[in-house]
Amino acid sequence: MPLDLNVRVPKFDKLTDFTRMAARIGLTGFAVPLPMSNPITKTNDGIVLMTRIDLAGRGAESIKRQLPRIRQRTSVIAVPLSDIEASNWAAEDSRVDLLTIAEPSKEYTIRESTAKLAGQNGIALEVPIAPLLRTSGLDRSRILKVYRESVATAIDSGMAVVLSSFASEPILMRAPSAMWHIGILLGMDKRKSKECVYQVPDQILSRSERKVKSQSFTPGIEVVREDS
Amino acid sequence: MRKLRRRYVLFRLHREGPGIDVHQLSAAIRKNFLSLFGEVSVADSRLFIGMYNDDEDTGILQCNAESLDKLLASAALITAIGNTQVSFEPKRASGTLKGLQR
Repeated sequence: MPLDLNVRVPKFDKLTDFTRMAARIGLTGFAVPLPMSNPITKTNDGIVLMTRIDLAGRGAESIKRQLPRIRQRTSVIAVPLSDIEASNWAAEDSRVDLLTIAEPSKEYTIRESTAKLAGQNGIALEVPIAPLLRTSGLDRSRILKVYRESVATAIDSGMAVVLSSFASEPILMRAPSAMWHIGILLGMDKRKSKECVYQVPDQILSRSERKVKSQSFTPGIEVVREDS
Repeated sequence: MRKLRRRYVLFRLHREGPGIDVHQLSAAIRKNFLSLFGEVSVADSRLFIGMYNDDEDTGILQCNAESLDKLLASAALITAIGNTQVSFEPKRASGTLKGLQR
């Protein structure tokens, strides 16, 4: 199932335009940073809508405080790659779904140690393609450098990679078949690139469905007593 | 001389704005391909848009098989042609035109 895990729908009244575009280009669903009553819903067109939150804050402490409140209300939790301490902490916490290259212009690539931790905890690297659409020439080549280095580090460290559009307008969304071709630009082979578009987002959705259930526990936690 | 293997790709161009013609589309793909992969790659690609239906915004492009993935990646990164915002969607690829129409 091809899903776009990062569509920046600005307001609820624009949602219909985005779902229409998603249906036209062959997406089965997408994640939006809007508050919704259910973390995962299905529209009349059959498009799956997921809630998404980007945990931004000043350092790991701020992110740690936000996380417990939102996990069961949100289907996709992303942490931007910026501060090393926050990135490493997020890479160890399986409540987080994605580590996002939020500011490729700052040339911050993922570290091997962070990628290894994330890989062990099933957290994927998210590569938003909107910066590649907005730029050209040398500016685009700088972004490509950051993306290609990060993708290579992630794959070598056993971390999954997800391509998402980061589209703020419906026309900036890309069809799954276009997305995996962009993955080839990022240094992936055809098989890996298709996996980033068709399989990894679907696996994240399935895992999220389990996480948002109240019976779900983080691995390593054992129920020692139940109050009747 | 080694015979070049061709690929035909059925595509759809989603757009917002006035219609565009085949020459504009072909120039936009070439320009992006040139920017990303250079002059030699453009020369080797043998890109040609053989058919484009501007009512349905669908068409068939042909190119050298080795350049196919890079060419489609370049096309996917096009955001606007003139005043029209676009989103390129490759639908299906085949080694023959007949195979594509099947």
